Amino acid sequence: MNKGMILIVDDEEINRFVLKQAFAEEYETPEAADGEAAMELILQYKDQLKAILLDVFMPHMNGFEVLEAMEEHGLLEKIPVIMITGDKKADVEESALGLGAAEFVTKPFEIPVIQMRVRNTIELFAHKNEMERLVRQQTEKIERQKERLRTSNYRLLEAISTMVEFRDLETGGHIVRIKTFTKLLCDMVMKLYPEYGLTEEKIERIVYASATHDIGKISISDSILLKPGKLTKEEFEIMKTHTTLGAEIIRNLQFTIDREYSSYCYEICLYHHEKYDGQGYPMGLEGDDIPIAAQIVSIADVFDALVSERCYKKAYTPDEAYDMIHNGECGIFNPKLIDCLDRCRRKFTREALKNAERS
Amino acid sequence: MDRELRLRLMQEGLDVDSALDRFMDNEEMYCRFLLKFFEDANYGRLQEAFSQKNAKECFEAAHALKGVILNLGMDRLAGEIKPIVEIFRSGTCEGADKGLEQFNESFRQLRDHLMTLLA
Repeated sequence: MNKGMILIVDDEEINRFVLKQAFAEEYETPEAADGEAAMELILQYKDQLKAILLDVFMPHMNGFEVLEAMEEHGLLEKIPVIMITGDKKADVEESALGLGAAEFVTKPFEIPVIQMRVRNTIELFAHKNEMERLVRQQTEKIERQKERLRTSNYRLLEAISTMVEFRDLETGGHIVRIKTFTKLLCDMVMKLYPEYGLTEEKIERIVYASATHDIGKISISDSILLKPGKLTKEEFEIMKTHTTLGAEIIRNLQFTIDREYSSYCYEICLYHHEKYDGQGYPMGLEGDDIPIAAQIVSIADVFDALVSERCYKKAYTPDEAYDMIHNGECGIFNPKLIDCLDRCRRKFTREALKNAERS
Repeated sequence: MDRELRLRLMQEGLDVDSALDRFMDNEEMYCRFLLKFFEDANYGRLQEAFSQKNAKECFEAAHALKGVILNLGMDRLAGEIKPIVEIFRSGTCEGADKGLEQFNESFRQLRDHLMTLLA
């Protein structure tokens, strides 16, 4: 096994000699006579150094300056520095401790004491570094598990949403497409309208949450949900409750692992039928009182409904769908989101046509 | 190191036993460093700084000398340099004249004696 290394820094040769004698058996002991030379060796041997014995007063660069330079290189965490102080003066020790020194030895040298202090300090640091490594490792593991739990949560709710969707739609494609459209719109909103504060992380959650927008339909009876013709006024009132019921379902699920995600689910379920002019349901919210996630999913949902065949209607072409959205035939949307939709038009059309080919 | 030499060194105010502990009983190196001490650049630096009343320089030089003196077990010199170091540490050269003069005298004396003893 390679010997560890202890760097001895002192401008007095005799001091270096005495320290070298004390450690040469167990360690390699390079020497430096001033701070500058010490820093060079420290950077060269930073992976082998077990400790540094560092004098305080030296020409060129003193011990305090060496401590500062080591701090700048992030090395004080890694290599313990044992300061050689001329004598026990509280102010010197205080300054050195403040700058990150680990231990002190005083002149005249008491060799057994110094050997013990150095050995203890090295062991302590090795232990500390090992602990930090373990904590880092465990933290990474926990983060990975949290991530896995988070995505399995997303997938679970997505699976439930897909099952709900299967009652009235023949394929699970709506949810896949809603996610795609939501993602395209979100990215555009983030780019063009930073005032909505979207970030990559938020978008990821909104996209997963968009899958749950119609989860409340689980409680709408077949006679209404699957009715081929137009709904009566009463039936439509019942149909509208899928928003509040969906929000209720999400609230009761109480996902604690990712509150941001569950609050997006809640907003999207509850508000995805609100309109910008206040004419939507269930609350009749207006403008940006409607959470941005719900506004985005609302356009994505309307667009996909228009270009898909449903039990009560034929599929429109993407161009017809744009016109209808622009004309306000499907209610009024946030002009900024209409802008984003226009800029996503090519990609939306491509997705819509993919779907048309499949069915 | 024979008994005679050891006694003579102790008479010169040297704590030979502690110093040899520090040198892991390497007598040859101890004797070499005893002589080498008198060539220490910090001695000249101290005189120079003192003539210019540069307290900071005086402190650094005297402080370094003190460390070596202690490690070499030169107890008499250590006793004389300690109060001077404290004066310089407080940021002044005022009142160090006499102490320094005494220290220089002892320094020269010890040098002459050791040179004869260890020649």
